[in-house]
Amino acid sequence: MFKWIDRTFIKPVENSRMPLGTFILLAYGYMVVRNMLEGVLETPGIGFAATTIITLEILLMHFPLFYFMLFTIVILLIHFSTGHDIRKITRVLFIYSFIILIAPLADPLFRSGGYNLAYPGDPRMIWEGIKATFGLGKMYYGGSPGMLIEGYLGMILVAIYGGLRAQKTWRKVLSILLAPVILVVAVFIAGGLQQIVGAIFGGGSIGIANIYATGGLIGSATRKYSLVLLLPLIPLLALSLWLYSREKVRFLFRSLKPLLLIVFALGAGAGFLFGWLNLRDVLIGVPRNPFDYIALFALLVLGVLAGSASLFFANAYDPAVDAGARRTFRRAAGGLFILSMLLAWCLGYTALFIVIAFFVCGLVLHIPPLRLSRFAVPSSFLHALAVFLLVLAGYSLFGMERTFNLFPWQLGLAVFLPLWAVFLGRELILRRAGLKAEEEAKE
Amino acid sequence: MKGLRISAGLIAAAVLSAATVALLPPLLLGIGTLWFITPPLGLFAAAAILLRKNALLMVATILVVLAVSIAGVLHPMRLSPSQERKLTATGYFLKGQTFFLRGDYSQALTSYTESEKAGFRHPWVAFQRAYCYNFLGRSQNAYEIFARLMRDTLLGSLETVHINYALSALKSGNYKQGEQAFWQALNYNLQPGYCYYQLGIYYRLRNDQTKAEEMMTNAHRLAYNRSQCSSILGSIAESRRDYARAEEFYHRALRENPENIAVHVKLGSLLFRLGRLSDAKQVLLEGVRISEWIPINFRVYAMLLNNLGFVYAEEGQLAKAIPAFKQAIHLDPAFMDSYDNLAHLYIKNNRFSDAVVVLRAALKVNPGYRPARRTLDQLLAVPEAGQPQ
Repeated sequence: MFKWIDRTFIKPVENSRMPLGTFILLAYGYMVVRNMLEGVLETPGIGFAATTIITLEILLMHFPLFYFMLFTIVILLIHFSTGHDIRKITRVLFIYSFIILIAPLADPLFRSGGYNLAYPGDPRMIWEGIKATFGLGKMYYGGSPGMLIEGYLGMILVAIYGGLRAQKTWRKVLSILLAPVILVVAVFIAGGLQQIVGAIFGGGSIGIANIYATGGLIGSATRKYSLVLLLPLIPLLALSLWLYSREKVRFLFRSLKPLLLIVFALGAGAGFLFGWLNLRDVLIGVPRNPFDYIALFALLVLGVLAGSASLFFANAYDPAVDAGARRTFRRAAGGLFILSMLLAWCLGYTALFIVIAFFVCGLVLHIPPLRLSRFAVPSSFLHALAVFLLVLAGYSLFGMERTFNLFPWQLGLAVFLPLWAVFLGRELILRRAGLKAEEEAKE
Repeated sequence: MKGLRISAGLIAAAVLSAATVALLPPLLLGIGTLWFITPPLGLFAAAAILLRKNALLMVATILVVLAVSIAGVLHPMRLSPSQERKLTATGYFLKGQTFFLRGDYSQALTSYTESEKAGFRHPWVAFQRAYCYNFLGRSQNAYEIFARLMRDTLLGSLETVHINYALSALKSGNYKQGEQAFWQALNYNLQPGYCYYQLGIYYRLRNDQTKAEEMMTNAHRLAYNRSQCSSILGSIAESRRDYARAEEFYHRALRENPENIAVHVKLGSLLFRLGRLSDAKQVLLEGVRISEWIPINFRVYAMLLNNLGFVYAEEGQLAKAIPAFKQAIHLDPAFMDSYDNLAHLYIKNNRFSDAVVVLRAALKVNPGYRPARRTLDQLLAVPEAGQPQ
């Protein structure tokens, strides 16, 4: 029977020629459908808040980030336990991740009106759920029978897959035995992370959940939750990619320009500082909240990610780069673009709009037909503008929607003009080096 | 020849970099310390360009950004008075936004007012102020602002202002305007479910049960807060003494949201009044079971326990009724019915001193609570016999 399962359901997916992006999109689709079903069939109807913006944040970012975190951890743990190709594990897991649709569909059958689902991050919730399965107590508030079915089914599927794919007998046994542990660890980390952060910062009079609703530089609780999920997800994704293809990741890292990335990150950080300096007399409540400092860290990460994406875009459309490498750069640029946009969204809508403008600069610079990077002056101008936009993104954490009204023009000129001059020098150096390389090639 | 042209370009870029890096930050920002920092950095940048050392140029850039940032921390930037004013005014507005997001509407209102005083005149500030007034229960103030914003559609967008105007009008007693505004909102198709719901509540308060029922049915059809709509429809049916229909609605409300504790309270009361003690107890106990799990409104939880105490008392289960009332008092000491009911239960069972203790506790919480005062006076009027009159 297992061979039949392997032949019918697993191998065709593992050997599929669909690109990874399609698998990710498919899984994202399941997540959005799950959230919508939860909004309709479960008690609080959380998926569809009355405010469009909050609905968008919850439905398209916050909840999917939880699932991506969960799936990434499961993929990594299955890879470590079985030693199987991470590419194939990813494909299979994403395709069969539709089991997350079970809870909202099954719960109304157990209790009309469904349940008020919570993140299964509390160890008591998992323990009480296991006990409730055997009639040894009631379900912890936030859990539901549908969630239990998902958990047990997921465990069985992980065990079957691990048993089928591990090469050596000891690995097979280990993979099957570890299946429940993998699930519990992944659920606990992905669901518990937000509670752990809440518990760390929410000591004293503020409760775990309340710490997310304390305003600060990131006004919305759901964006704070998203940030707590997104920041650890970035290194986990990097690790997964490293296991996916070490050569490509090494190649991508080597093509980065660390000093330029520092300039980008520093620009964002300086913007944060300028915002604080300009408004500290009035905005006495910030930065004080722990999430304000997490926001600063996220801002620096945003500078690095957005800068890297821009560099990869440049390489992806550089005619001098060979076709295979260009494809790799395009994919990496796409991934980093999405992560940068998500980070900016977490930081605020003004930051998001500014980062979109940053990428417009990158596209105009590097993508045909314009490819302004061919000309020294426009290229240096757009590079300086890109860094300056990151300064504004940092400032926007304080200035919010009034950033452009508030940013002092003197400061703008004092930052932008030297940047433009320096980038002009850089362009000329690069052109000179390019000319020299061309001459050497001719000789 | 080509190489020579690039060299000329490099020299021009070096001079430009040296000049902008060295001169612009101290000149524009008015920070004297920068005169000692940026000129060497300018020369450094120029040297990097002339030597064609890209890495050094990037290091120079990093140092410039750091220098401007650190100097900004140590010395305030020189800004014009109008810029200072703008920063303060907008800063107060942003401060208001921060308090608003935190749910501290009183502080938010103060900040918005400060912002307007400092010269930030924007319809959004007025809108936010009105919003705060609404949250703080000062509906008349809110209504006046929203009405002003409504007069000029350029001041505030229709979808944000209209509904808030309608609500503040109803809350502030400008019923005619509020009712019209909600009907107008329905014509504009602005949150129709919410509009029907609010109109339903309004007609119910005006005792126009037919219209209230119609509005709530429409809101329910549009899936706006279904459980709550069903609950109100149940109350309407109950007020018409159509108990079978009321029970039907309450059951529907529970199916739509089993965690709507207020419906457990209502249904429990209805069944109790119909003499179906066992059913009432079952509904109330289910409500208590759910309440134990979830963070809910303590008033509703106290009402639930109070009603349960009533059912137990009716069944003669004193040992269960008294703890239920006591727990209700513990959960919400401001819910006076529980004191009253517990005191009467004690009196009925000749435990007068216990009743006196409970009534005194009630009066301590609310000295003006007349039923407790009256019962206590009656009890204390017969000191010798220790019997109530």
